[in-house]
Amino acid sequence: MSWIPRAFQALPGPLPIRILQAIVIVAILLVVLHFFYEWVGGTFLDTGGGIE
Amino acid sequence: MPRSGAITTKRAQPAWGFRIVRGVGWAMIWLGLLTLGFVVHQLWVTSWLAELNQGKLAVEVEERFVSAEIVWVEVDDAGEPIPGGEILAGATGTDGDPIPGPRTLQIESDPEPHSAFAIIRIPAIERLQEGWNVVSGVRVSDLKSGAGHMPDTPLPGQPGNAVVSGHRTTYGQPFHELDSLTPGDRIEVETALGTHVYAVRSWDEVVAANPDFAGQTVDALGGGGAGVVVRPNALWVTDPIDGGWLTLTTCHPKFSASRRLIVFAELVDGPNAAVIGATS
Repeated sequence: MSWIPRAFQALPGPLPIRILQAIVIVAILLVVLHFFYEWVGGTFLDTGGGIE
Repeated sequence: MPRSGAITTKRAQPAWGFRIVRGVGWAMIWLGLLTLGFVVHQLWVTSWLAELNQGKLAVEVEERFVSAEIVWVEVDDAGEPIPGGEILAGATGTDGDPIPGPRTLQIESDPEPHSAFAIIRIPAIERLQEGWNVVSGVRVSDLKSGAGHMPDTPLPGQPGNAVVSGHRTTYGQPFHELDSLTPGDRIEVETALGTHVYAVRSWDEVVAANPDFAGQTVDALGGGGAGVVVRPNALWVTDPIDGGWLTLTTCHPKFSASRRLIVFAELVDGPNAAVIGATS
């Protein structure tokens, strides 16, 4: 997990800007993960029960 | 004193074997976290989103109940509307409604696509006792919000076979306990016309109503449940059936989309039950 602080330190700008960038990056990753989970769940777990 | 004896050290690199084991270990940890996140997302996040949508749909349904246009039409012996048999058009609400005759069918205007227009309640299923909103359409986005009515089938409360689909294990799990329904259980669907009451029927009773179904491949659900299990592409379950019918479809088994669980129910009470029963 040591890459996480190193990646944070590698972000450009002063500390507040780096924190802001980290929050934005994490938010984007969560949104991507949400849609990935939706796709996996909707394809394999529960399509909604419709007859295709 | 000069540091003549200073020793310079270099951090030893771990052995290859150790690095591989450590890498695999971290990969397993991340995979576990992703899987845990998936479970949390599917079971709780999707249901939370569905509950949010249900709140919005409840408002839509109330508006629909007030604004839907209702017409009364005379039907022939086969239950088909007689051309020109419309006796009142454009009426809304109950004030000034005519008294329906024995051959008078009430028809509500088609709902807007992807909008909520009905509420389904199943007293035998705890999570559906309060009701779950039904939207027009079975797109993925429709079914994330509520149960979905297949647009090519009649509306609930009308002659024929109204088909409604719903999620089994995610997005509020409206049809999670559909396998627990037994013949005779009540299903209520409230629309702008009023509450249509259906009774769950066994497969034998369904086949008696539509003998064409006899040749179809179905698996029994077992455990006394009235439902049958079919393939996901079994479009025949949407075929018309004489009388007024409601067909519920959902994924089967739980946590798999490989099959479909189908529950058939027959209209037994409601605004159109008498006329449909008399003409079917």
